[in-house]
Amino acid sequence: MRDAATPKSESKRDWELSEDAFRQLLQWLDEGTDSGGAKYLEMRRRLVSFFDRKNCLAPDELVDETLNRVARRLKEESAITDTTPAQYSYIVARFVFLEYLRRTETRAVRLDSVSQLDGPSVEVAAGSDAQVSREEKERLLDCLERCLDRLEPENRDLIMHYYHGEQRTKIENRRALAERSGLTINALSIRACRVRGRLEACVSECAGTIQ
Amino acid sequence: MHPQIPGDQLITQYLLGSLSSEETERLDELSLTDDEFATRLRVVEDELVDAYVGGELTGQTLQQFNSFYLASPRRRGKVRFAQVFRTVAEQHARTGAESAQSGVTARPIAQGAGSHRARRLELLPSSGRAWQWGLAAAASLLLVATAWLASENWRLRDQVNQARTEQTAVEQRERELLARQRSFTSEKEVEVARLRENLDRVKRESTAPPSQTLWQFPAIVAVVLTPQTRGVSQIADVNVPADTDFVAIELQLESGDYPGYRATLKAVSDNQVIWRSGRLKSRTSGDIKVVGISLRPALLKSSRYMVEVVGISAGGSNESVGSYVFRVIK
Repeated sequence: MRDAATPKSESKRDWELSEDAFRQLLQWLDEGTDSGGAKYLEMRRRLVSFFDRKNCLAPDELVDETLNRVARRLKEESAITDTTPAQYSYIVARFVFLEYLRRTETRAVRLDSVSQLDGPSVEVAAGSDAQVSREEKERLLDCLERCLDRLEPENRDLIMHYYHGEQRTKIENRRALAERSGLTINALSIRACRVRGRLEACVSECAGTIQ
Repeated sequence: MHPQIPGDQLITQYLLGSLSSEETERLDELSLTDDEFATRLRVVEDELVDAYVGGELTGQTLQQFNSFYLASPRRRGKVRFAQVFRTVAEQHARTGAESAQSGVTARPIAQGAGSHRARRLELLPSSGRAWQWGLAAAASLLLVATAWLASENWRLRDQVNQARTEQTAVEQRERELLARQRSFTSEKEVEVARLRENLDRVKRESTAPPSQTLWQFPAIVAVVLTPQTRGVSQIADVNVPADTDFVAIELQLESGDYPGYRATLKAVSDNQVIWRSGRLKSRTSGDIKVVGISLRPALLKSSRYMVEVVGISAGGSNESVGSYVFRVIK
C-alpha cells in the first residue's frame, strides 16, 4: 500500500492502484454522494465504449490505464478541482488514445514488412467465424435462458414485451406498455435499455464471449 | 432532452463513423461527460443493432454498418446477442398468442423450469375431463412443434445470412487496411526521396565557390504556442509569407520534468503525421519551460495543424505532455 510520501519521481509505469487510491477514486467520482460504486462502473462502461468506438484492440486495458492515471494524479495532488471527474477522465482518455495511436502507427510503418499490419482492429478469419458462429449461438441461447431466469419478474416481463412485434406493432406495444407502467416512452426506453445491458453482460459472462 | 443533445440521426451517424473529426470529437466528449447523452447513445445503439438484425437497414447505412460497426469484436458480440434475443422475444410473443388461442394457461420461457431451450412450455389444463385434457394437450403440442420448426427455419436462414454479411465485412476491412498500409509505404518513400534531394542541395551549396554564395539572413517566422485545453479555445493563426525559410515554434510546457521530449506534427483534418522531431531538450524562457521546433514552410499548407509533445522518461518510455493547435495562413 502506497502513501502520500511516495516520491513523485517514481516511474509512472511502476505505480500500482492501491486499495486506498481506489477508494479515493470512487469517492471523487461520486462527487459527494455515495453511489456504492455505481458511478465508477458507469464511467468504466462509458470509457470501454469510447475506446471500442475508436476500434482499439483492447479497450479494457486502455480503460485501466486511464483510470490508473486519474487515480495516480488524485493520490499525488490529493484533489482535482479544476474540472469535473467526467471531464478529467475524458481528457486523460484522449491522451491515452493518442498514445495508443502513435504506438500502432509506429508498428504499422515498417517498409520491410508490408504484410505485418497491426492496425487498431482485429480481424477474424471468415471461414472459422462461420463455424464458431453456430456453436456460439447455441451457447448464447442457453445462456440467455439462464440469464432471463435470474431477472426480476417485472423486468423480465418488461423486456419481453418491449421487444415484442415489428415496426408499427412494436411502437404501439411500447406505447401501451409505457401507459401500463406509468412511465413516459423515453423513461421506458431507458429502463429497457438498462435491463438489456444487464442481460448482455450476464450472457457475455456466461458464454465467455468478448464484449 | 435538453436542446444541446444531438438528435438520433446524428447519433446514428456517429455510431457508424460517418461524422467529421470535429463532430466526432464533440460527441466523444459528450459520451463521457453528459449523462443524458450517454444514456441516449446506448438506446440508439441498441435500436440500430436491432434494425440491422431485423433486416431494416438499407443502402449506405447498411454498408456503413457492415464496414465500420462490425469491425469491432465487441460490437459483433452485441449483434450476436441481439439475434439470439430476437429469437427468444419472438418465441415469447408466439407463445403468448398460442396460449390465448388454445384456451390454456401457459407459462412461457425461462421461468425456473431449467429447460435447455427457450422453446419449452409448461401447460396448465383448465378442464377436469381427461379426454378434453388429452385433446387440448395434443393440439398444443402440435402448435408448439410447428412454432419450433418455423423458428428453427428462420434461425438457420439467419445464420447463413449473417455468415455471408460478416464475411463481406471482413473482406472489406482487409481491403481498407491494405490500402492504408500501401499509402503509408508510398508516403515514406516520398519522404525519403525528399530528404535525399535536400541533402544533395545542401552539399551543392556547401561546395559552391565563395563568389557564388549569397550570404543573407534567413527569413524566420517565430510563434509561441500554449497547450490546448478542453472545449473551444483560441487557435493561433500563423502567417507564413512566401519567402519564409523557417517557421520556429516555441511550445510552452505545463511540466518540464523529462530529460527529453519528442514532437509530432499532424494535420487536424485527417490526423495524418506530417513531421516528427528528433530528441528535444527543454529550456527556460522567463519562468516557463519550453521546447523549440523548426519547420520548413514547404511542410505547411493553409490548414490547421496539431503538434503533439511527449516526454521521454529516463527509462525511455513516452508520456503525452500536451498538444498544440495552430492554423497556417499562406
